[in-house]
Amino acid sequence: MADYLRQLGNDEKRCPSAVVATVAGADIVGPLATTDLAVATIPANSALGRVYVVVTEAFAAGSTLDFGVTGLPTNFLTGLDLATVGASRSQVLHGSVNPADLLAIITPNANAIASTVGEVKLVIELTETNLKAGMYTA
Amino acid sequence: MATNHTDILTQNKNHAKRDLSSGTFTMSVELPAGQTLADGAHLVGKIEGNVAITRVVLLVREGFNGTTPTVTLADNKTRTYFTTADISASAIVESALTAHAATRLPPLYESTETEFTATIVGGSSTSGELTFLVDYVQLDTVVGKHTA
Repeated sequence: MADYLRQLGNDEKRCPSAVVATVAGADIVGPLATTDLAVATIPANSALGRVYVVVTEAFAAGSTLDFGVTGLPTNFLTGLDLATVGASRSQVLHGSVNPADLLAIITPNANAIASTVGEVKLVIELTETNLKAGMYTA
Repeated sequence: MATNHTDILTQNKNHAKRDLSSGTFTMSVELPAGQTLADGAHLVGKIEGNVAITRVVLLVREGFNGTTPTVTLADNKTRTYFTTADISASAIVESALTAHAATRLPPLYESTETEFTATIVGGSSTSGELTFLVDYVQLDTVVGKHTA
């Protein structure tokens, strides 16, 4: 039986990692206030495991946001309440591998844009699946 | 979704690749220097603050051979992860991470340090070993700083 045990990086021990995008209320007011905001880059050739959003500091009442990643079904986390500390939502993404860099995008509502306080963390867990040892995103 | 957007890609440490972290807290009947594990509550581990706890798992690596042995794992935030879980045989059990507030869902955000306490009923076990695995992501935005 032929094997691929030492080809294509198959003998590499891979460590999962995460991209954590922090968005403060002050980041989305003024000149950055928009219906659409890129908050993090997800490197190419990543196997996405799970994404989740956690509110670490409350925004103004009525603040919400939608969260999505370019190239994936848009806004898979919608209407997250930003006014409650600890509020969180998660979404498992089985089998998602991106051949090119992706952008994590949020769409805050008007109350969130007007809020000068608050902080939310968006976390994307991933394992890089590069085929060459020591080489990233190529 | 609109395609035109400004960005904060390089702010707040958003461009950093974060390693996922885990705490492993082991309890064994046989302890160093000939001691044995006593029944009752034991502080088994801590993780730093400003983290999102994504998974808590009970791994029974060697079943406890006493009479109906069980273990309960709770933290100093009044959350219980396992309640009198059976540890008589090898097993892998994942906590449901039920939040202590109805409006909150897993993963669990902790702004301050979390201490984990395990209460064990060994039932006069002479052997047995278990490990609690706590997976989490560090959310600090300042390089080199971990929230106490």
